[in-house]
Amino acid sequence: MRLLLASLILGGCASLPTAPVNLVDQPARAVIRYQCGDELLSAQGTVACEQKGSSPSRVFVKVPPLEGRVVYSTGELKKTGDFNWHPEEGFLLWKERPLKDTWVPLELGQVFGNWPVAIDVLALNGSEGVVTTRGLVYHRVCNDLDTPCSKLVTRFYCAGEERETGLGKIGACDRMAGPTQTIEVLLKAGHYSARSGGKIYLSAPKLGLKQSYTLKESDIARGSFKVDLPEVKPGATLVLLAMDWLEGGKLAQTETRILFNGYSPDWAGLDKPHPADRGTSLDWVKPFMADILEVDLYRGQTLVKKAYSRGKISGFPKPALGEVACGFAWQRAASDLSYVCLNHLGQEVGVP
Amino acid sequence: MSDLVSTLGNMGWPGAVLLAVATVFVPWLINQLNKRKDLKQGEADAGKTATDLATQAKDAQDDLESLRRSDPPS
Repeated sequence: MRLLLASLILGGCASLPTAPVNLVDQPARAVIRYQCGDELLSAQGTVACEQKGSSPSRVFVKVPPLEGRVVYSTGELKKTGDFNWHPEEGFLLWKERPLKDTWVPLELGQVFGNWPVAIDVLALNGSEGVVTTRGLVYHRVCNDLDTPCSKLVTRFYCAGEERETGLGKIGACDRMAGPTQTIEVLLKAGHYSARSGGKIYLSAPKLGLKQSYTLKESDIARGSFKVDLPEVKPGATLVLLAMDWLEGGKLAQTETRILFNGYSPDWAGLDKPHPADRGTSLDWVKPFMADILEVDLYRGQTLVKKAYSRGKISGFPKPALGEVACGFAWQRAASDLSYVCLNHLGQEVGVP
Repeated sequence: MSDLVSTLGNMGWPGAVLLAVATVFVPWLINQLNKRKDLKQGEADAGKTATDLATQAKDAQDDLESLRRSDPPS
């Protein structure tokens, strides 16, 4: 009996992979391509877009060269798409359709109203278990008739980086959950000028915040007004800010929204993949603890060459003028995806 | 660890069975359970996150309308 117990412990310990963090506590790390108005943009994690008028949706997510599924939801629909990388053919099978690249299109129908899309990419990493990466897209459709478009200019620091909202632009921020987030509301901008006696309204339902502030002459003279969120919790927190004032007896109104997505201080992610210049080619090394590395060469947004490895990738072509080389690394234990993209000058650029 | 393996080896066929359970079946079973747990959590999460964000957007809009009514600018 003692031996049986010991052998179970031995076997169990030998097989236990590091457990991934709770999904609610991990940051959004999926790389997403999405249509915002007329532009097809690429970004990582949490993205926000305001557009005038409804449109057919275009959202793509990057999946690893493995077998797995994407589960995505708008809060009204929830769908599953399975993918499987076929190394011998060099294509990804997505819903019975072969794709040359590892970007998969999500079937989400029409973008309308407040339109959130939560994405979970779940990939089987051999015997290790499931690599999960998450993404969050928030679209807001306005028309300046019954649904005003955003005009309020605010500034805030998102994990050390200055961000801004403004005309037709709402905000998004992935940051560590924790105390205090300051947002500076500009009382005067090119397209408005608030008056004393005006109001700033703040609502953050997840934090139980619903407040109004009265603007004094001294605030107007200073030109800005700071509001503080007491904390950012793990997960999505939507903040609505509005500013109303009277201008010659007429009511002027502006508003904006910022989506914060907090992650646990316990989480530690991957470093970026490491490219090494070998003169005519690049060697790519996966970051410490990463499970899999994929390297892509793009001309515009079109894939020219793809390679993947559980170790190093040597002799990958350097990007020429108009081309970008991107390395993507996935790790199961941290549920992470990290990437770096280089242009022909070796400068870091965004995902094409 | 090596003592345990050699003890199991000296036990003859019952030891071999236990060794096989320890090195093959238990890791396989734990991996299966881990995969199932991870998949289940991931599959549930997308729907909850989207619903939660849609609810926050609606509640924030309701809050704004109520604040504008109760405390208008002067």
